[in-house]
Amino acid sequence: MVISMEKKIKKLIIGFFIMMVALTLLSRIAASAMVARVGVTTGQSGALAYEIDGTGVVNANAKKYIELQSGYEIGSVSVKEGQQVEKGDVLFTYDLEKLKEKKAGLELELQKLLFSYEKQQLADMDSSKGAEQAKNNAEEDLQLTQKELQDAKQTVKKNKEEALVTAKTAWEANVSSKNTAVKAADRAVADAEGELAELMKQQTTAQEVISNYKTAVMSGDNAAVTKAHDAIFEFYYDGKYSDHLQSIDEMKEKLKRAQEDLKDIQDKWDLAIDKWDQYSGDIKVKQAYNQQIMSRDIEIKSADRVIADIQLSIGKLTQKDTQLDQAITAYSSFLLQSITTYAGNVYDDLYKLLFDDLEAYEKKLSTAETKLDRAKEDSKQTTEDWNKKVAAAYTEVEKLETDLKHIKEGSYDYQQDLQDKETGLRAAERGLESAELGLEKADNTDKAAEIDLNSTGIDIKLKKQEINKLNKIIKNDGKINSPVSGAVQTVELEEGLTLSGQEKLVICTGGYELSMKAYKDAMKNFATGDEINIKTGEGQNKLSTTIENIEAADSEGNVSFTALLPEGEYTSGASLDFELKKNSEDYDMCLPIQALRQDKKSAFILIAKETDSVLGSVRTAFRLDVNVISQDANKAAVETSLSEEDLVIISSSKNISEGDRVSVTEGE
Amino acid sequence: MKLKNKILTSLLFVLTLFIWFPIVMLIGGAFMGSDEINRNVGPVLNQAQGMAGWSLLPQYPTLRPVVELLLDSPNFFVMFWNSCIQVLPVLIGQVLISVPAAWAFARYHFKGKNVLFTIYIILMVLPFQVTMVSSYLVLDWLKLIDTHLALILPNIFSTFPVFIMVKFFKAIPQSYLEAAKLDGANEWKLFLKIGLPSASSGILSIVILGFLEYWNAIEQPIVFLARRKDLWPLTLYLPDITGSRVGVAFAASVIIMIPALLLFLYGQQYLEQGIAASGLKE
Repeated sequence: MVISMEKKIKKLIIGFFIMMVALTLLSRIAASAMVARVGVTTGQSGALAYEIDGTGVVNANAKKYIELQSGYEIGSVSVKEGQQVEKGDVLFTYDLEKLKEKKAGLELELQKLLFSYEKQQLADMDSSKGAEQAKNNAEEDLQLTQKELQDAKQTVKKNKEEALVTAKTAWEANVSSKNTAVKAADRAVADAEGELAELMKQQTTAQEVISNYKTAVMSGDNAAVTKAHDAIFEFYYDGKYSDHLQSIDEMKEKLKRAQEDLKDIQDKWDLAIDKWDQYSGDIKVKQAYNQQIMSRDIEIKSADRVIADIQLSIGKLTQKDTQLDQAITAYSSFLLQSITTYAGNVYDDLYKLLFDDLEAYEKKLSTAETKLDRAKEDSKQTTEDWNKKVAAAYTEVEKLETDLKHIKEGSYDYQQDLQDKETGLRAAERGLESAELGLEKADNTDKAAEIDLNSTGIDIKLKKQEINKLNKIIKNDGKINSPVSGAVQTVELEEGLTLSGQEKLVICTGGYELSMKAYKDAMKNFATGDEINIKTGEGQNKLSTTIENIEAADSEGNVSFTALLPEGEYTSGASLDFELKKNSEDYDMCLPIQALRQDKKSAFILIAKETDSVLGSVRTAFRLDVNVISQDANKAAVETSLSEEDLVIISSSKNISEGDRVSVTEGE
Repeated sequence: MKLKNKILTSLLFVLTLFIWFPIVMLIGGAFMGSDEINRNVGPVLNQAQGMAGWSLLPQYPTLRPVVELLLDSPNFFVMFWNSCIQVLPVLIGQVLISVPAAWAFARYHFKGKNVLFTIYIILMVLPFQVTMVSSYLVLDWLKLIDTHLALILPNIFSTFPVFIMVKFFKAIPQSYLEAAKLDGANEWKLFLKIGLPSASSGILSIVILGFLEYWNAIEQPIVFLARRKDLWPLTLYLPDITGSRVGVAFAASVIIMIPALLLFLYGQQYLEQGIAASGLKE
């Protein structure tokens, strides 16, 4: 039952995962199908091109509108309405004093503007120059550091080469020293070995002579026994046994002679002394006798002493021989009696006798053995020490050779040697990055400064134009001449009047003008004096003239404006096509008209912004409010926080709003 | 006596209703229209006037939230598969690592075993918040932050399954193993032929306990995958839902619950053994 339930659950788990796979695919497909595909563009700086096309009507009795300078004061008026004027006649005069005052004021303003312009220029230059200089310095620093690093690499190579030479010399010196030291140590060992061998040789020889004696005794060969016996003595006397015997013989000879001398003395005094004299009554005889006896005793005593001395010497010389003989005899007896158990003691006694001081000899032997051991240890230690030194020196040589090989192949790791330099290099690189950032920032600041500068430049230009115009008028003593011939239609001027801009002075020229209309929004970009092209007839003949007058907008928002037609043949009431074209100033951000959207709040655009989401990096529509400064038929200049990299949505396969996921169509 | 039992049973039944209520509410909410949900919980979520309320069953049942979730929420599936990617390798890895480790702890005597096991237990009882900073620093040093491995690797070497498996392996009678040895089984055979089959319920229990733990993990993904939303697991789907999609949140909760529920039902008996062995309750 449990198993069956487990199987069912297992199936359910498998089924669940299969279902999740299927639903994953389905949801992906659905999401992919539902996502809007959008065309995008980026915002760019540029100028707008204003254009108005239309048709105007030709009117007879064209009106020339005399340009009046707003803010100027009229000195005198020379014409009246209905008066006929010729080209060049004085129409009116400005107040010359006021003109000069105005000119002085304008020049002052111009001066201020020029100063301001210069100041902006300098600031701009300073900021970009400073950043440029900082960048150049940083680049120089980097180059220097790179060079230092390169030089340091060369230095590393040179140092390694020098170190290799030193290391090789040290290695060779070590090898040589090792040989000397090892040789000395070996010699000490050999000496100790020689010394020991010498001592050992005595021992061996002693054992050998005893052994030979034993062999001789055991063989029963008397001649051999004698020889072996002599050999023992020979050993004891270190090969000088015969000298020893000779010494004994000499001593014995001396003894014999001394004994003979004693006898001669006794005989001499026996003959010389008359025993009877001791009984003589003559004191002198008696004294002479006693004197003789005393001399005889002295001589005999002296001779006896010589004999005793010689006998003592002989005893001394033969004492050891006697002991040896006894020991040999004892040993021989024990050998012959085959009492092997005692032979050891007898052997030891004999052996001991062979050395004057066995204890001293054995001590010497032990000392020699210790000396040899020490010499061997010293030799071993010396060899090991020197081997280590030589190996270390060779390792250093090998390391340096490998390093140099790697340096030659370019695979050497300079990290250890150049750590400091590389830290410096990294600092220099960071410095350069920082300087580049500074420069970039300065560039951005420059752009803003450039705009300000351009704006001031325009102000200066306008001011200069106004001053020029004023100069011309002043030069003409404030007089304004008629540019055309005709009848004065309207004069709204009077002496002492300061012009507000609403006044008019109109002269009917008798020629033709084109009267046109355009919507106020389109017309707001144009002003009197702007060029206008007029098509005449079927062909492509074009006339070029300027806008003469622009009226205020009517209730429908239409603005009427006129342009004087050049001399020619026109039909009053005829229609002529016209074309007005003008480029705006440069704007920082221009967008296609399609990008602009409008809701109740404001104008806005949607940008396809990349965001990190659960689905990975996706693009979503992001609203950005804009302020439209101006627009032409295709583009609009806007104020917004848009950057040049942002993708502005200009078309979409679906209606999209902020937050919707979008897919950017390639190639748009 | 019987009456007393009945009263007690009824009382307990009433108490169980408190546990069941959130689940009923969840399932009811998954089939509720957005108007009805807003009427019920609008005062809480949308600062609407009035008091929040709830009806156990939807007045106008609709499949709209479920359909919206299953057909119009690719995010949900991305997170679902992220959860699978983060949980399944952990379970496989834990079985491969913890079972032999536990066998060693249970069967062999070696120097420092007790100290090592004590360290294991200390690590097991430390909550994630304690080791979070050190774990983050290590994972950052290994360049694993913002990858699936940031969740998988540390969890593979979790100490909890070792702790459970040691109990299971220790429960195998020594005489049984000695008999197998006498019959010529070597250590490897003892582990494969006796250890693993005897502790199979333990292995299943660590798999199920592990699944429940990692399927529901919230802190680790939030900390270790903070910058990579595309790697987030399903547990982070609900906090991402706005007040206008509460119905979808209910539907998502139901779907999230299904695999854990099925696995729990599948391995209920093993799980009970595992909990009994650990002496703990998650």
